[in-house]
Amino acid sequence: MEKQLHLLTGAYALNALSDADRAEFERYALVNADALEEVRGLSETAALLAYASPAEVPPPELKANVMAAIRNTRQLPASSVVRDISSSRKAAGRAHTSSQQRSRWMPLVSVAAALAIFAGVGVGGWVIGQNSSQSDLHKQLTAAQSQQQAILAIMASPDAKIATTVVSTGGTVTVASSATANQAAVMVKDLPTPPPGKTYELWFISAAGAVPAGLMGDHDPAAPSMQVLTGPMGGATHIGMTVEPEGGSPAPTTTPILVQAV
Amino acid sequence: MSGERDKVDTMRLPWLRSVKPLEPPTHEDLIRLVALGDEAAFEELYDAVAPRVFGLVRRVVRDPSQSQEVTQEVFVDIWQQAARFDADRGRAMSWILVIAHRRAVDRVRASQASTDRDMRQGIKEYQESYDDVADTVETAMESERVHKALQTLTDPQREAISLAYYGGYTHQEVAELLKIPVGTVKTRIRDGMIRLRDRLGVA
Repeated sequence: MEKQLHLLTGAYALNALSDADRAEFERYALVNADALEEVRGLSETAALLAYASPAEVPPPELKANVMAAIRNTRQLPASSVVRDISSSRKAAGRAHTSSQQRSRWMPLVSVAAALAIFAGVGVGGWVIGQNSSQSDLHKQLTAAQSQQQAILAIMASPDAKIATTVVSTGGTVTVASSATANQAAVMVKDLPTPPPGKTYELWFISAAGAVPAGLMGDHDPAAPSMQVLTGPMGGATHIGMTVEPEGGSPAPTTTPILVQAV
Repeated sequence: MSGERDKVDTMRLPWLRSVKPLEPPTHEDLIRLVALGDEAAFEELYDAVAPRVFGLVRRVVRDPSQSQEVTQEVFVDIWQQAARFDADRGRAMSWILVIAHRRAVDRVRASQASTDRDMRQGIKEYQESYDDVADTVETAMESERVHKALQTLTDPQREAISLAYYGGYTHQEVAELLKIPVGTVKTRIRDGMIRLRDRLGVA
């Protein structure tokens, strides 16, 4: 982790990172508002470098090809579900949000940022086309939207609680929950990929026992990712996470790596 | 006779003379129309920005026919993603040039994998192409402004930024080319970009 990622803002803006470095930097920048702000300015600066290169009128047949190509190309909908963290931060700054308020909203902003990656939105302000088809994109957006709505319901509740734990397997798990919203979500970072054939299962735990609350989706260990627990929180007093055989178990079969009071 | 009639018309309709021609649509206006599927607006946008896009792509990709392919990809991207352009985040032209640069660099890296560009050639190309920038200084105020800003960089900063941006090299490749540590390249590029940003008054 000591790769001095904050020094890569310039190289990122110039597209001078390998794919792996770019992915790593984006994960870092998504949870680091200062880096994101710097990337935004440097990306705009990088675009200006194009002006130091001579303009050149392309051959006329290129225009004909382009016009023919767009007639066969469907346009993508605006991804209004997710907003870039950098612009929301700017708006917050203008409104002179107190730092206390801002810190309260930071987890939510980070989640929005995590969703941004999910929906194929790059950092630094602009979207560069992924090659996903429109229906894939639509599915992703719908999934992202329902996750975001659940998270919003939790975080906007007057009794929202957030607790972060370093788990025994390494990595951190943040549990967000609200009895009013009757929902809970986990955000994980640096959680190792489960062993082959295994998966992480989430549980609602109460005096009556543990109720399955869904499996963690596949995730890149280093990337922050999140999951809304399946089902209502009900009278659960704790959220748990165990390692289970692929497909999950009806009841926990291993010692939980996380038990968090809610 | 006709002169007199003109005079009368002018007197009757004085306001006709004071109406200013409509401002031409900005790039931002055009992109908003493109987002609604307006092909005529797209064509107008193409005419307005294609030389700048093609110039940049040619600079990075070099090969003329590949440059045309990449330029076509860029415009299809603009068409597809117009609804996602957000004027709050920057100018339309910047958005377009970011897409163009990313596409150009992707192409260079993809062909690099098959042909393995000669690293030493890279330096030579950079020096040659940097020279011809001087020819275009007077062509536009924006070019001059950028060129002047580039002059305020230290030579090592300018060299690293030019290799990365115009050469399409990753920062590791720039380090190899210049035989300096990767960490040095990172800071040269970042410090140089920050200086450019401040010089160019980018918010």
